[in-house]
Amino acid sequence: MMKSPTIFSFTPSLMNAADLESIFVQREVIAADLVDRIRESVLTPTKHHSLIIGARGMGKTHLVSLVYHRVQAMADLHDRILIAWLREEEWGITSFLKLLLRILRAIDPADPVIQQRVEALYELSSAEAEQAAISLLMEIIGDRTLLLITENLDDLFKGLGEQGQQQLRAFLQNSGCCTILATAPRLFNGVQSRNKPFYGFFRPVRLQELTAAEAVQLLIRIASLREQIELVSFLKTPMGKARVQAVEHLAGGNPRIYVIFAEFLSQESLEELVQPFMALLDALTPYYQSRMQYLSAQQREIVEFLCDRKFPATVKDIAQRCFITSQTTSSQLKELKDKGYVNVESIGRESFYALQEPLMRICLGMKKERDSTLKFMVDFLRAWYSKDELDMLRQKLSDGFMQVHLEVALQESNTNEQDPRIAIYLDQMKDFYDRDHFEEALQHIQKLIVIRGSAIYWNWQGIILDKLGRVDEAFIALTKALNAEPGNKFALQFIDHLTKESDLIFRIKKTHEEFLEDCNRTIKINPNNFSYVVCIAKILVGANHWTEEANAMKDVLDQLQESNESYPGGTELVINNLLAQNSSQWQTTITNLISWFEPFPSAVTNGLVSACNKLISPLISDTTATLWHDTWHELTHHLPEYQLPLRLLTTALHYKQKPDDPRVWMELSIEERKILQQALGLDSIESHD
Amino acid sequence: MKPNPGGQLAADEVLGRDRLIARLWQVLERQSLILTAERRMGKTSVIKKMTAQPLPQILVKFRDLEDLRTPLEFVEAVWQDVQQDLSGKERAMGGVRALLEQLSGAEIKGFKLPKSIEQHWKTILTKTVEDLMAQQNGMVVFFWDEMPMMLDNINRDLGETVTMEILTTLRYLRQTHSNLRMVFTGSIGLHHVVTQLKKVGAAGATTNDMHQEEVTPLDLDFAILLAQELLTGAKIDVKDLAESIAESVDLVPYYIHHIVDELQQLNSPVTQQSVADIILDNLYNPSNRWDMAHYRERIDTYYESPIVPFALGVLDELAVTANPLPLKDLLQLLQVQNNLQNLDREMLLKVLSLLQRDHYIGQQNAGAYAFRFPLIQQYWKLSRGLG
Repeated sequence: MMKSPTIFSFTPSLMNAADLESIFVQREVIAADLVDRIRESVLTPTKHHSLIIGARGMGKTHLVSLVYHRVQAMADLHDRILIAWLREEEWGITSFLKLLLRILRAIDPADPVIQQRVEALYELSSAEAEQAAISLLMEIIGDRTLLLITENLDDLFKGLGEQGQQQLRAFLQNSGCCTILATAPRLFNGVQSRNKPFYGFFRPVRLQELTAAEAVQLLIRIASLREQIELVSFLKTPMGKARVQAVEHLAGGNPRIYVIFAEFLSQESLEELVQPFMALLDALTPYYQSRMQYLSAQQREIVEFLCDRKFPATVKDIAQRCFITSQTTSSQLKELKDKGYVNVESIGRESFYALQEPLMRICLGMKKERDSTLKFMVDFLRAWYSKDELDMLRQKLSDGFMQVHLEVALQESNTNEQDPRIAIYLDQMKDFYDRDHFEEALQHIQKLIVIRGSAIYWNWQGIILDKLGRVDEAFIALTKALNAEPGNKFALQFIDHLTKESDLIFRIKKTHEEFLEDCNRTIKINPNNFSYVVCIAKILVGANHWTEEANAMKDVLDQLQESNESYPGGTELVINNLLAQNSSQWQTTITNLISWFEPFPSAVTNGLVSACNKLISPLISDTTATLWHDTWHELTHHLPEYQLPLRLLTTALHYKQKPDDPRVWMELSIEERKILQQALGLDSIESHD
Repeated sequence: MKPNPGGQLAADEVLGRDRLIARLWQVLERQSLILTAERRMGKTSVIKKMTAQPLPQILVKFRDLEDLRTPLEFVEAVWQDVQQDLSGKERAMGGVRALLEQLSGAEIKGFKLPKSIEQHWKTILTKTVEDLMAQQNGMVVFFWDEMPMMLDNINRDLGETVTMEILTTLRYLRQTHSNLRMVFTGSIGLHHVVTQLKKVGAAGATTNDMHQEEVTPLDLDFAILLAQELLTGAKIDVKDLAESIAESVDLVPYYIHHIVDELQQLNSPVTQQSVADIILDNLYNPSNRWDMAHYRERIDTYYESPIVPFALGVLDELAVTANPLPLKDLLQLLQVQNNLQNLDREMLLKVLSLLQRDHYIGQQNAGAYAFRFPLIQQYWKLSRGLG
């Protein structure tokens, strides 16, 4: 049974300590350090002032709440600390006096004596009340330390004005008994400018966005807290991970959005997904609209332009489209960046600006749409589903509202969209590569992968990592290329090249498991694609650890069999590689191959014939070749489908032993000779007759 | 010891300042002083350490004045600070309180002075100090942090005459009480406030009895020691990193704290290169914490318009020179290469003096001029497109 929800995505300060702890990810080191600093501030004359920096929804309040509860729980601090935790949105603080009153109210709202004395302050003039409030506060603090927790410090400073800030700083310096834990969505002028009272006063702590793995961790914890066992299992599947990646695209690593999306991550059908999503957008739209209210008209215009634009834009583009000068555009963009609305990416001499949160574009876009094809829905579908999934869904739906959107989404997926950053990154990457500056080339290709994770960029990353001697990571990159484009020939060939190193698979076992998952998923979506199977088999044989992963391999083959699909070929690589391995492995491996490929015998027989070419190579000794021949004969002579390949193998062996003896070819019929000669890469059979 | 950039340090955590503090106490034996330095050089830490660990028989009072905007508020602050050092009799009915009640015509409750007696602030201040000095046998030192900020506030709100009166009254008190000392510190140079006041006459004379001392960066050994202590506290162990940090931020303690703090927050392994990367980011990233653009903007804000091109010319030339420049060479470069024909020797000396007082430049051996801090020179050179 599902627990009643206890997770407040917009107001985590309402959650209890245990729940906050149970869904806390990535930031344990930061939390422990903040608690340590508060502890030191309470127990010694040292006073730390920390400012947590993170865009809206990044988890600042969660962190602050958690730190508050941990400090509260420290029994040895009880008599030495006072905590004033101001509300997240303290709108009415327009002077130092009002700040003092809020602090006094927050220290112990349940203490009637304090509250009565605070009430008495309202009887005084503002100047007298300020003086009396300071005295009262100092009296209450006594020889203890005041921990002041305040969110949105930028808003608080704005309300205080320069004079109020000077008063606050003077109070802190003169009293020497406060430690501050504050938050802000960004570093702002009040703490950053040398002309301001609080310049350099706070120690900034920057919150990082969640990586996809951390997001999965967060969502699993949320699902566990809600006792959603099925969702926990779903998140561990490749499909679950793909959904999280989609949210990552929409949310830009923002934990709040992950929490919101947790509700319908596992919805399979479009109907189940779309309605809650529409409702979510509807609920979020006022939030994003209210954020627009904070902007000047010119800034709103720029944000709107970026909403309409699919790709990041240069200052020049924005200026041209908004009919404002480049200089004004630059200064407005700087402010928007400072306010956390846009991010900037510098490539060479160009700076590209984009919205910080893609979800903002979707929500604001929803309000603007009047035609039947809603752009935001197309955007969402493209993020949520892969191209193959979109194709599959479109085939299932014959008509209707969603079908139109699926069509458009699919069309856009097929369009070769030209993000202006790609050409610049690509040029620079190639330039670095040509000059053997592989570290720099790697940085550039990583940017390209972030923009578009196409197989070509993953392949490039594999090549560069290999150049840098980071073979394990190169392998991972190539598997990602296969993920992006199943059967990508270059990736398969490069894996072939890499896996000559025998212990690679053992070193990257974890990745390899993911690779198998990719394989399963690909086959499910597109059963005709068998390249993965071949590739895995080849890697396993190449790494000489066949037995360790044999079951996984068998699962894949069973799946293929269940789908009643035919085997499209490609086991040649497997058998070719087996021939190059230690002959002591042959017996077991060949037995397994025959058994697993029983539903697709041609997979093995074709591979066996193809391997004849390798057999006649001077690198294979006559003794080894004979042993290979004898092993196959011993294991397959009783199987009808192996009779022809065995005959061809025998002739190939004889040809290897006596290449100039034309009688060798007489062992085979004309048709069989043609097949073998083709396999051996010889010109024509007549020349040997 | 944890890195604590911008926070309040315990006296024992203020490293490498003992020699300076000993010298400052020596100065205070004979006269008051003005403590100058760039922001975040550690002025407040130094005076707080002096306040926390005063010499025997010396009464010390620390007060940050930046929130004060009228002479009466200043007097009120001084009165509050000395209350506990007045005798019980004085506190109850003695000099100042009696005077206040006489001036206001009512009983004074608490420590808020009524606005009605504002015009008598000089009398109250004088009486307060008199009462205090009468109670003390030894020296009394007022450490007034952000004094220029208070003067600037008053200057803007009430005009230059009032500001001048404050400075004059304080000078009178210093001259009247041989055991009274004042220490002015502040993040804006007092000379910027005084320059405005010069127009109303004799501003320079109000502080010329005070010794001026600059808080400089740490000595190399102490800067390395500080960096090492912080690295240990941050559990970072990289060979020669402390030296590298200390030298790369010109031995300034705040930046040493800052760099170690950033290193501690890195998600990747810490190397020597990490230090260089953090510094580069802080120098050139427009949204950096060090606000290096301030060094350019400050010239427009505080320097008179005709002087601005000369100041910029001097800094541009010194930014690109490998060696310090003598006055003669600098003048020639500015006149010829920068086409500043109307710059003569006297004007250049005036500009150089201002730039020195604002800690942009310093004079090295044989009087040649160079940037005071290589970090600012590096920023200036690149931000001005000088190579």
